[in-house]
Amino acid sequence: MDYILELKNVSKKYDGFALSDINIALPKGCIMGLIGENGAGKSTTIKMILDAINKDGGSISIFGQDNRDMPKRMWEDIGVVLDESCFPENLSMKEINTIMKNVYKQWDADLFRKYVNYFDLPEKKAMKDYSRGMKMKLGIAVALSHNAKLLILDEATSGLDPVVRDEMVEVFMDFIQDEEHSILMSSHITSDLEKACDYITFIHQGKILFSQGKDELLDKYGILKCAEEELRVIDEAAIVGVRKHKFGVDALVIRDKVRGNFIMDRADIEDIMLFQIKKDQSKEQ
Amino acid sequence: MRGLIIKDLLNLKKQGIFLGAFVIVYLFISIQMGDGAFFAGVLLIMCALMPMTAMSYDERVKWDRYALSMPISRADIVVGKYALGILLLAVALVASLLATFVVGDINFKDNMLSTIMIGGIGIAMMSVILPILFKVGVEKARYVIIAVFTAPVLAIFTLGKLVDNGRITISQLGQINYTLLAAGVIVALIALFVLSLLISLKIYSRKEF
Repeated sequence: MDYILELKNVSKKYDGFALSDINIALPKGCIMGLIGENGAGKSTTIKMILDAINKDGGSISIFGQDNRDMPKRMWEDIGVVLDESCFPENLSMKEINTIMKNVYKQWDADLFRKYVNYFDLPEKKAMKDYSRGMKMKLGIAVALSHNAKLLILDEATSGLDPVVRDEMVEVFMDFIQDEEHSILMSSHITSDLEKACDYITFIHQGKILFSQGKDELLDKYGILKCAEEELRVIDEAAIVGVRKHKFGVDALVIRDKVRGNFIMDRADIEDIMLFQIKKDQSKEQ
Repeated sequence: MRGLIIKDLLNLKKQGIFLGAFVIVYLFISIQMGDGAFFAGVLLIMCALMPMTAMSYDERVKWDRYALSMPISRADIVVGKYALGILLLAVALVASLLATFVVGDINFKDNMLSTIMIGGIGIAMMSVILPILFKVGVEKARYVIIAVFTAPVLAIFTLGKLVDNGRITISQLGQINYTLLAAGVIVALIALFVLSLLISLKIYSRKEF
């Protein structure tokens, strides 16, 4: 398959934290969600993709080219929104338009105007007077206004209210209607990802726990609600994590491995993430 | 790189207004004093330090990390800051020379020379400061920069002392071949500037954001 972004065995070591064996492959026409706790390594991974920090090992290729020797014009095809707004504080949106016109050869001022109108952003206000949500929207508008083929979004929706987040998801879905386009987005708002993503990659303590199709993932797991005694009957290999409460237990189980007649609820991405983390914590204790 | 310089100029606009007010006040003082060199001195040094102000703005919002995700290379970012400094210095130099002319100084030639000399000091300061800024950032570089500032003052002060003490006599100063000295200074300045740029490029190519 043709991958727009591919990470192979990427690693990076800091004092007290290490990312290792990061393998991600993002096909064209898809959205991949990157989930994990704060400090799990999502932003570090994204920074390595953008070559803002050096990796210790492995390889990263974007559009089939090593990201360290990509010619400048290939960066035109990547739109990026970072977790912190990086717009200089004294600038207005109008001035940012002027700057971007001089940075991107493919800058589309009309499209930019369309997005900022759609997001209802004030033209002359300085960035330091923009709210976090406004800055996020502006960042998204910029990322979408130079005909990028790949969007990389680091917590790009986290400063926005549910209504706008929902609109953003629509915008992103629209973006990948073009089969050549892809999005890699990290977020801890898993419901957004569940709506938009084709693939989910879960990073936990610097390692990838899984990276697979969302539907596959949702089909694979189920939530079993039963009494504690009932749970003992079930094959241990089927149980990923257990949460005890007053009336019994909730367990995240692998559907195929559960034998017998049990009622299972659908597990969402958040359940899958939380139970996995819990399992890991109880193992450590 | 054009985009980067435009970004810095727009971002420094407020400083520009401040600088404009300053220019008017000092120009007035200079006219009163009948001496343009003083005006030129302050203006040139302020302009030579504008890249530092621009960098502190960038640092505050982590601009560099964002810029690197655009079709902008690390070298562009470094060269952009040097270009900004030279550009502003050139504008200040022209303004100063014009001012000297307007002030109608009797020592027009002398003042022109001193203005150019101060421009040279500006380039030298910029060359020393920028690699340090790229290495440790504006916040940490503050003290080093104060030292860099004091150096020329100390040098002139020491020279003055030596003259006072009779170690250097005015006639000795008169014996210096000024054409040769000027040529030497210009070559040294260019060398310093190029070296500084190369060091900054090297530092920045390995920097993490």
